[in-house]
Amino acid sequence: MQDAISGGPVYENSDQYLALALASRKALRSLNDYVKQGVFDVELRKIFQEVVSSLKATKDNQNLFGPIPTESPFTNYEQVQTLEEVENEHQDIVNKLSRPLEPYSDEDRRRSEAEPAIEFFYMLENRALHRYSNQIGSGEL
Amino acid sequence: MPGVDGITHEAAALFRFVESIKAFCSSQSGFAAYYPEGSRDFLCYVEQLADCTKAYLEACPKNVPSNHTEYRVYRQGLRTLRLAWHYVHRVVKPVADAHTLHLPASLIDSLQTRLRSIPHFAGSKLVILHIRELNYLQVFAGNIQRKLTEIADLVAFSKPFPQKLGLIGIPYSQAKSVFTNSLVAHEIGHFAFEAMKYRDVFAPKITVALDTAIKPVIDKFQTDEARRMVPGAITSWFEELFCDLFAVALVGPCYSYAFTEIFDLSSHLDIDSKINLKFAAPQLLFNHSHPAHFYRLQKQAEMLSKLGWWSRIETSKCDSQTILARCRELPSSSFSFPFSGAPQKCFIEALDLLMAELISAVQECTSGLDHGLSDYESKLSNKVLECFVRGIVPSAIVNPTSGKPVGLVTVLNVAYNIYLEHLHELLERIVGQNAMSAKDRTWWTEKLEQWTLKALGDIALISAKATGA
Repeated sequence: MQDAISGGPVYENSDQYLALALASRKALRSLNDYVKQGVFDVELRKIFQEVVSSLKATKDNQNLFGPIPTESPFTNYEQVQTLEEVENEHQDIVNKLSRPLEPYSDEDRRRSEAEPAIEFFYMLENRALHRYSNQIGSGEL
Repeated sequence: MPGVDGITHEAAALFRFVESIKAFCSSQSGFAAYYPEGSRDFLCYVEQLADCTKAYLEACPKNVPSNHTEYRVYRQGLRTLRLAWHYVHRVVKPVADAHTLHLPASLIDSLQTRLRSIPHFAGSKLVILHIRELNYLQVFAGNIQRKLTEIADLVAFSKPFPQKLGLIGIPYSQAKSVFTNSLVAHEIGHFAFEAMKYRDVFAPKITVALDTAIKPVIDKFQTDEARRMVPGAITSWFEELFCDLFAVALVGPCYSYAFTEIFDLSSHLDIDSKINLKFAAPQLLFNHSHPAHFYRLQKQAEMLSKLGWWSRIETSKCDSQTILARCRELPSSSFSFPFSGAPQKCFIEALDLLMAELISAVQECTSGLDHGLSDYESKLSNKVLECFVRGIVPSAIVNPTSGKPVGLVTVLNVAYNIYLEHLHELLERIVGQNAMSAKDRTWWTEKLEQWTLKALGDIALISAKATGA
């Protein structure tokens, strides 16, 4: 009925950060599969699309509100805020995630191809974990 | 080997943490008979997920990458897994605490049966959690499902999360209450909203409402941050209103009465039975996640009217009905919104644009549900009332036309009606009881709730026997 404010089993806002961290981790696992096996899976494609569409919505002059929250873990207020912060440190990431990863046969080339996305999702996961643990108080005694 | 030792240690620490959660789930197996089916499924899933996580952690030190970047990414993955298990830790105990000895079990079973009678939700199960707040919440079953599925994906656990589980939090202190727990119907609404994926379905409609009603006055918002919070607020208001209307469709007016009681809304009635708007201002204010209480009551009253309940309840003189009627009459200009500078009418306009969609959504997802009004309107409700005020459990009252026992909606609403309006009739029949005494009223309210629970339990048994279930 109302948000659990504190001390309850769930904490609405912090949940958004955990969802973001888990989605980032999923991307990192798929990126690892791409580097090691050359597979660019459907799930990773979907995550790229969701991130791009969320970040584009924040910059769209026609869309003054930003993305509408959906089931995607990149559309809630806290998630979008974190995405934008990390994007500021990873210029051109929207362009990089907008195109599919090249299916190189050489692992080193794939590693280099995936590197910007890996750095981006690593940082996104890191920031989300930091906020999540701050909110649930796991870092406090 | 540097790097590997650290990961080995972290994996072992997490292994131990996960094992402690698993042991807690396992220790509940002696209580298995006392758990609702959904809770058993949930705890069993967590137990198996814990086993798979432990196997993953056992293998962790063998897979440590030597590449600097990959090592960093790999190590952070352990941190994500640990914090995800913190989340599981928070949910498991409240589920384990809410076994049937600490639940209004027959009410929850009846609500679950009623939910399952809707074709969209056939086979659904409710998992109840005890929470510390004096509040109710649906623990975003979809969120839990998604998070547990993500953990399962991380540790290569292939068993799917049990389908159609609705996780609902109720205050531990209200575990035996029937009337307050009518609010569970709202939380079932959240489960329905998620199950129907309405957040995604209605996102384009919400965009249209924003563009039509709010975009033209966007320059009035004082900060960019406020502007960016509007979509989330409207989406959240939409969901909360959906759940209110869903609850009204599921259980009838007792939901609105319980809503009024938990938020103490009838205390805003003056001696002339009108709302003093000046002093009731907080009840007229929306917040970022929830519509104003009085706005919610207004929409519930409209839904009660739409479903045909209003003519049946409007003659009631109790304060809970009066406040419902007063809220129904409130002009939309009474309400205020948490975005300073922005004209309030743009929000009302946006909500008005969405209201038809919202009602359609409730109708769509409750299609096939008997709203219980015909039972309530028949002589059956009088028989139930007569039983209750004589201290008799109304278990054996059967609809002569259908041959079915009287349903949940009638029993619950008649009992609530007695609680609000006829408790004195019950007390007057009992020697030494004073209808003006809070102590005596409390005692007999609890009795009335126990009779209601017994009636619901008996009716479930009779119905199961009749259908051969």
